[in-house]
Amino acid sequence: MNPPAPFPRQTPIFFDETPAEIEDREGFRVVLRYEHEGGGPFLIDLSHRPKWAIRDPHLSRIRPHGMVLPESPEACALENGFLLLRLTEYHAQLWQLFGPSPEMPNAFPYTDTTDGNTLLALMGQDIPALLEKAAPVDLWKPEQPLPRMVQGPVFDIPSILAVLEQSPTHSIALLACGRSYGQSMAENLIKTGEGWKMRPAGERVFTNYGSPAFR
Amino acid sequence: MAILLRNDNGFPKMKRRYRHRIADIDSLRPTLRIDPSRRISFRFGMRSVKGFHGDSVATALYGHGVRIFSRSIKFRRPRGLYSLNGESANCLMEIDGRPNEMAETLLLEKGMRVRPQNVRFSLKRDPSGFMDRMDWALPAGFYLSRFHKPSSLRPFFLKRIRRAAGIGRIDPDYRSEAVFDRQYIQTDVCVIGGGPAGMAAAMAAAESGVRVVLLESRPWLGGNFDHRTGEFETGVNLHHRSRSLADQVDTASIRRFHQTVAIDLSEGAAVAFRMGGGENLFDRRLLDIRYRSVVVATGCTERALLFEHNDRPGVMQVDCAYRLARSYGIFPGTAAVFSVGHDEGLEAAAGLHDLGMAVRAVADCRAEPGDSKLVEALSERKIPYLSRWHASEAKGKKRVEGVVLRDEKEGRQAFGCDLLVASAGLSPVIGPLSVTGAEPAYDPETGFYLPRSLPPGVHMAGRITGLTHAGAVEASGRSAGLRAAGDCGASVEAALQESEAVLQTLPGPAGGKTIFLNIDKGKKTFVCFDMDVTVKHLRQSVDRGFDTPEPAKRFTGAGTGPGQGGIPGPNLPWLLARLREASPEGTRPTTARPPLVPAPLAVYGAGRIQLNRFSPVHSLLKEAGAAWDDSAGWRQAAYFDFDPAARKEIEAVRGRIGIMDAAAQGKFRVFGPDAVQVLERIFIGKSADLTPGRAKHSFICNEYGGVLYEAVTACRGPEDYLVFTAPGMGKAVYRWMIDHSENKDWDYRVADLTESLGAVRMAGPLARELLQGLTESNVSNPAFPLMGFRRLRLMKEALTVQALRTGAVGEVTYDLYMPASLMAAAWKALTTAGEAFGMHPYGLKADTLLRLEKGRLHIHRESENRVTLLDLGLERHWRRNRSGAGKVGDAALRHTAGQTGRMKRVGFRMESAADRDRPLQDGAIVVDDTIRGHVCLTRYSDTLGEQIGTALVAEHLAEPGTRLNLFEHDMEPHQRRHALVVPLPFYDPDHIRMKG
Repeated sequence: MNPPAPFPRQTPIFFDETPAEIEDREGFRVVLRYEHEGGGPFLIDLSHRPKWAIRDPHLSRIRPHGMVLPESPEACALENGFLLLRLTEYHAQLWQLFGPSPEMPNAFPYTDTTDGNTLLALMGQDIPALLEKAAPVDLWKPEQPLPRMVQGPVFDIPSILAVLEQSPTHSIALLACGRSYGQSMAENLIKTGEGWKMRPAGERVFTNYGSPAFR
Repeated sequence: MAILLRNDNGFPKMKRRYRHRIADIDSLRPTLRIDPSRRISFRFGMRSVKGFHGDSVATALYGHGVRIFSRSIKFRRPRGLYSLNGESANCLMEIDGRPNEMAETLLLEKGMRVRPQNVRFSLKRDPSGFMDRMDWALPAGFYLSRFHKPSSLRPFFLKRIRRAAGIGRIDPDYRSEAVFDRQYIQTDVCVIGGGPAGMAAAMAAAESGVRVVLLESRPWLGGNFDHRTGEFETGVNLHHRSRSLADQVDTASIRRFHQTVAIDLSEGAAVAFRMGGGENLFDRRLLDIRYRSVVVATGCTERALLFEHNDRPGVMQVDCAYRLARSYGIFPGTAAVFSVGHDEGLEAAAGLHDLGMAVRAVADCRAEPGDSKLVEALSERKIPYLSRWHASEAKGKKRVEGVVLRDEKEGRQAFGCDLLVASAGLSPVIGPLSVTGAEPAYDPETGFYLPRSLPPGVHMAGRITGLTHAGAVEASGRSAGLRAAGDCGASVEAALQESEAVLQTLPGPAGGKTIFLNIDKGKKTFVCFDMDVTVKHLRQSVDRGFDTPEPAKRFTGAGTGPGQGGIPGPNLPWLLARLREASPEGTRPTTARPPLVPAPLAVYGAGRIQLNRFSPVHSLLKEAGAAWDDSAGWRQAAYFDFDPAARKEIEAVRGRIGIMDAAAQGKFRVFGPDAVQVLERIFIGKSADLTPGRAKHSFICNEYGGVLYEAVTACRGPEDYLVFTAPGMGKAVYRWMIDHSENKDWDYRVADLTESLGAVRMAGPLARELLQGLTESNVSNPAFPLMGFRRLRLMKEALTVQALRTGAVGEVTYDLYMPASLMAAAWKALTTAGEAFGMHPYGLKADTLLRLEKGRLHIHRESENRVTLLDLGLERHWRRNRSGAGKVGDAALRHTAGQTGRMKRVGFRMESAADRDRPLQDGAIVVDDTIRGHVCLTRYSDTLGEQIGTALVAEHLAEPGTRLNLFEHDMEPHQRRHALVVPLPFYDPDHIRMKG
């Protein structure tokens, strides 16, 4: 929506931690690493990652960055660092998780929602247990393939949840909600995760992790 | 062995020498649930007491010699440990300041402060105990018929009754430090009950590959097998078998929740309550469980045996006595008499004898003798077994000192004892099934009230079905588990066939037994301990016509106490049938309703976190000293400088320039070939004539012509519009837009940009000058007129905004929209640039008054069902739709356009200058000989130097110059205040400042 500008951009999240490594990226001051991140679980702010809404009555015909949209709503696909989530028959979202920011196609179905959404990554062993205290959604169905997504409330706030990885020792979930709820959401997740020693972490924890299939 | 003495009344009296804990406690190891090496000290009243790790509060107290735990609600009778399952209020105690904690099930923790309830002075000597002799004054339903006349004394009696009633006292200053939280659990199969049937069901389901959750109310699995020494199969005791099953559950992929009871079950969802504390991170937790199939394996409780003084401390159920000994290593008494109606009573009598307790006699109230092996075991131990005998009266004033046994033919026998183990048989725990919709009916085969049929996805297993054979109990669990897995799509046919075949080979449900009881007197034969309801009360209830369980429950209060009908529930239908000389088959038990067990109210609210919505400039406003207001979930700046009247803020907007955070505005992009059709449909004004660069202020009406929302629509380009709504209304407008266009075949899209776009409002006579200084574009009045919409590059093209010029507060006003991520930086830059112009931030309080001065409509305060857009004086915003169709609200406006006698919105100012010091109240009513309207919004305006406001009044009062009589709710009836109707707007009526 706006060309890169000298005005600094801000994500909705502010962690009261000391950043150890910072990178300026498209106007955002992205924290790559905090001083005391601990050993997990981690809460990572990815709100600066590009996010687009795609709305069209003929959604299945659209191939964002060459990706094929999942057939049914509440399904998602991960390819080349993009997570493509089909929310309804007419509405999808594309989150760019890894790699350099792409150009959004200048076409009617696309709307840039990077600024409109909070995107958080939750990583660690106890993420399923932690999210059980926040969200009444069936996210951890072992029989369903990964990645998987659901739409539902987290702390009663409409959210999108996606699972990238699920194992007894390590899980990765992504949580997206409205920007205005971001700070409150992050604070409450940290509070909920106190028992598991959840701490904020920089983006690097997320980008360094994950199988090559993510990228 | 205890020495028996003679009492004055001839009954033997126990020497009070207790051996509370079993000396050779290690011999109990297989079933022992306490750790004797870990002592825990706590306080009971003023005393320091010690228990063991694994004790419940009640068992620790019992082990310390405490026999009276509370006093009853009505008759103030001493009450003791009766069951260990929380079935009555006998052991409700105040623990760590929290009243009504169930000491029977609450695990002991170090440093707990335990106090008895409903007691004056001491448990043993309570002066209010005289109430026990006042039973003649308190018949069934006494509160419905007594103390009503004379009516002047009714309040006096009510006050005293209320003071005397209730259990426990809440300290209003008490603040709980306990952690209450909530957990959402998703599963395929939910098994309720961790006994042998429940464990077998959970394992069978888990083997089928589905997700399984197992809930158990005790801190361990095992259920009824856990403490019993009976034989499961040759060489294997029941408790060995329960350990073996629990070990298998441990290794299976089953989620187990101990100390967890289901309090509600409905289609696909269960609510359970979990006790925490100790090493847990919570004290109480509400589990919200979503399942696809449920197995109820809650087993049986014991039916209370009815006899005179059956509530005396020292009378307890079989399970309670046996578990005290085998699980907690406590002698329930020194010398016991058993009066029982099931084989487990015989087993317990033999077992307790073997542990060293004297068993004086075992009376079996069944018509047929019990299991021959067990009878033989009693005979070997030289314990008298009295078939067809039962207890008819417990002796002793504050605790059991003896018992009278009775047989219809052979008469009476008296025994000295300090423990009377009493049980009339078993009763299935069908509450969880009942709340799923399963209707219970009398089953003559088992003598139980069991569901006639079960809803889909609901199964029952184990002793609840009437099975008593250990192998059959387990096999029924396996079958139920497989069926539940089958409900979830697992392939279980072969395994189920095999399991059913095994079950067929095992003994079926035990036949119902006739039991003999004496309920002739019933004056102090308690059916319900919690509410002090006796057989006599039930007889009175039947005599008054309340002769079935539901009305009798309400008339007498039986089953309405904290025990949720645990003690009276099984007896009530049976007893009422007997009192009216009918068969129990025609009687239904009372309806079970959630919560099935009591849970603290705080648990229901646990985990409910209200998230606030924050603007991107929240921290900057905080630094500027904002006071906050929560509006539609947004935390918005209400005022600054600690001045709720917002004088400086208003002064800045009227005299120089004010800046406001408008991020909470709803913002939508409506685009596509048919976008204008959508706008034409939902807005009452015309949208089709909007050209790029222009905007329009309009209203959304409902089907009755009432005003719902206001919005500004700006045209970005062909087929591309932005809609801006008032703060907090975005979601509602979006929903309205979708709902009123979804059945049209229109090609358009709506993108919600509420969160994506930040918004800053600059208003004031110097706003244009400031803006011009920031941009190279021409923003002069002709180039950027009122309701213009422009794309501007500000601050040497560092920031691009979409600017909308409005007149919201009656001054030159610019709403600047930019990406939300840039809003904080933009705010900082604008306020820095604005310093030279005397810019000041302003909040909602100032905005409300500024808009009122300009006569702007305050949606929801001024719009209501009785008035339309036209009544509100906004006809200029209505573009009549010639086709008469399509525009929501148009038809209603046409219909009401010519009507007279409607309410009208008017402006007014207070008549007297003295009103300056006494603000008029919003909501004051307009009166003459009747109510003629009400004040919608009123404020004192420093700009105008008078109190102004708007009101909805009857049409004949709407003419300017009319004098309004106003009445405020706290006035004397004859008092009035007066205002004059004046034309709107109050400020700048020719709009020179706004347009200039």
